[in-house]
Amino acid sequence: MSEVESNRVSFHGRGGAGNGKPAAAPKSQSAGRHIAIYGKGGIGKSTTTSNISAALAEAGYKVIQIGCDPKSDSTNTLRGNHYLPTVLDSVRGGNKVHLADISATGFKGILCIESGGPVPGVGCAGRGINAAVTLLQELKLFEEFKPDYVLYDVLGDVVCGGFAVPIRDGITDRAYVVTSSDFMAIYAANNLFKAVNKYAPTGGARLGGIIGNGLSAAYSNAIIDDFAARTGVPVAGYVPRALVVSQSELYGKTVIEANPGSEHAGIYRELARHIAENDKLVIPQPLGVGDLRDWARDWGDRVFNLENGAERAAA
Amino acid sequence: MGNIRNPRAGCALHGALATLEAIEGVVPIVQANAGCAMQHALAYRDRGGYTVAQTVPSSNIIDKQVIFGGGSRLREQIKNTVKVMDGRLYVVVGSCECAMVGDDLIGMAREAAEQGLQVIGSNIAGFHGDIHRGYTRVFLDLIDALPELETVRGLREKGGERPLVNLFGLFPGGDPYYKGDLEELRRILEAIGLRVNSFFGPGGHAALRTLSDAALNLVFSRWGETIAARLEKKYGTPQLIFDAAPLGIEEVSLFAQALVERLDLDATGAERFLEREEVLAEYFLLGAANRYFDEGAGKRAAIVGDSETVLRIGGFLSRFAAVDIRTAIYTDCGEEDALPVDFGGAAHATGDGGEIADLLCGSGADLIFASSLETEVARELGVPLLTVSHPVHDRMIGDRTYAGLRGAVALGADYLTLARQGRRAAAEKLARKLAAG
Repeated sequence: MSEVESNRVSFHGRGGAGNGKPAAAPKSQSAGRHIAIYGKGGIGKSTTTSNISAALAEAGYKVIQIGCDPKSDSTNTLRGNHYLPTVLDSVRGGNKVHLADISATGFKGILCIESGGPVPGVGCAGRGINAAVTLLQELKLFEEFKPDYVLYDVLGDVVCGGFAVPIRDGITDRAYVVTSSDFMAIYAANNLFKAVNKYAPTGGARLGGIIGNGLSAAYSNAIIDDFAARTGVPVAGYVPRALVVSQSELYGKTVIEANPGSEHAGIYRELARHIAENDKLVIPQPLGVGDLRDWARDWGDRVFNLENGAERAAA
Repeated sequence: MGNIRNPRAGCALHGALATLEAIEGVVPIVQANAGCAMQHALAYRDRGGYTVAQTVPSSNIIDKQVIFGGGSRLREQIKNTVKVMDGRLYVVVGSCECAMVGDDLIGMAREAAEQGLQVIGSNIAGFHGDIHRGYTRVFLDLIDALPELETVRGLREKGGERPLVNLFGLFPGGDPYYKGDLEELRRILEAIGLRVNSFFGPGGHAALRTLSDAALNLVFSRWGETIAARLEKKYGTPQLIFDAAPLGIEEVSLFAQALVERLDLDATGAERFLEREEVLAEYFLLGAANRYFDEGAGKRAAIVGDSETVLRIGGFLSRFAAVDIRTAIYTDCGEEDALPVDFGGAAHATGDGGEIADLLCGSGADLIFASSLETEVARELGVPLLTVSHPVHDRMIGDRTYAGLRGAVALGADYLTLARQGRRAAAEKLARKLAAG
């Protein structure tokens, strides 16, 4: 009548209780350091994140990169642009999802995953990202892969509560923001600071710093430094605009892989080292809407004077 | 296929509410539009065996809170609830819309806790699943959040004190007889030298506070497994998982023996208790054997319910009353789940009322063990029905149990009552047929 195992007793044979699918395991901070990377759309989040992942993997760490964007192209340059079914594609299919079907091993063993999302204009992408990450936890991704670092490349601006979930619910404990020195990118960074500022006191992620990206003008670093100082956030690194980044991307590779000896590969390695070692996390003090506009106008004047001064000096 | 007709389980929020309302001293606060808590109250008010609160505090959010976030409305609701509702622990529970817009319930609860209020939060959303998942999730959230409020001792009481066990997997919405079943398990466990946290019923809040002190977690259905696993991870508490609650002397003996071995209990004391219980069972069912051979033998049956209920009751009927279980329908299993046991007949997984009715019609059963939703099909078939699974409308359940030792006596008696009803119904049918010529 009965079967007795170490911690299971079956009165009715066939191990009844063990056949059920356990209910969803809620989010828990799993193995490894979980880092979210935010920033305005098109600012270079995926490029930066992939190069950081590549540099970490090159240094011998086990890395997972999870693209949290319906565009699902975050990890392209890590895995030679091959098609990878997204987590939510599999969920939509309705069949049981296996980790092997939704992940690909990329450069130096980086495990690449794309959360995917609904068709543009329908559904809720924020909820989708949350559901995708929950599913990955249910599949025991982190327990089984045992990563040293998990990087979440999160889309665009924090536009609603759903997109704040990765920094709110203990999925990640630290966030970085990628920004150029353009006003709209800084505006988006300031919005992320608002979300971090709101959730950090109750256990949400804190901010590791700003990553300046695509910097070309002479004053770009100064604008970022000033914004960082005013909001109480450290700068994790500066990535100047360079042809080698665009070229590597066109080859479908990261700079680390395509041009490992380049100056930019060194910049990404240094950035990765900083992110790997940095434990100084802050709660940012975002600027108010009026203050941000005043600050921008002030910089408008300074930049104008700089350019004119330079022209006058040239003349 | 989904559960189209007469779905028997509400959503995960309803599961969380049914669970919280059944724990003495706990008051839920719902962050949702008015319909969620209202639907719960209407759906569960009339059902046997439930502890449904007459008043459910709810923030009744509207469009404005969906657009701008419901934080300040919830803050107000918490502040007012603690003034008018007498609770020892308040649990903020979420809903589909507040999960969609990302209301930070945990953070809001923490803010209230910082002001000295006994408030924790659970990010439950109706779309997380049905009531079973609601039970599991809200318990996991309680386990995670309670240490923030209470001093968790985390120390096993040793020496003279009897070991404590937590019971998981039997809950309102899963087992309609959960009150009686849990109390019967408590009676047995206390008799063999244990202390028991069943959470539901008197002392519920105190049980929550001491759940980390347990020497062992006992799990009686798949819905308690994740909870015990979380406690093992968090406090190192070992677990013992049963596929169902024990029913009848044979299973209870095995149950007791497993605990005696695991917790190094007094084996002689347990044996003496079981011997006495066996004598009592014979005393209560004296004369039942004759009636069984007259009316109860050789019956075919169909059984419908959660896996735990079907295994427990179906297993007992087939072994001790030699009932031929033609059809077993598991209402808490998905199509992808391996079905537990077929009892030598057919096993199905569905919660759809129409599909269940069709399966019962084709089962050839003389007796049906199912829920009140099967009343109509049983009447059409002219077959008597005993309501053993959720929902139960036709009887006040009180302390009725179909678990343990007293549950075996109760089920034995109810089985014979049902068999007599069946014989009478068959005789009446025959008489009508003869009269009609």
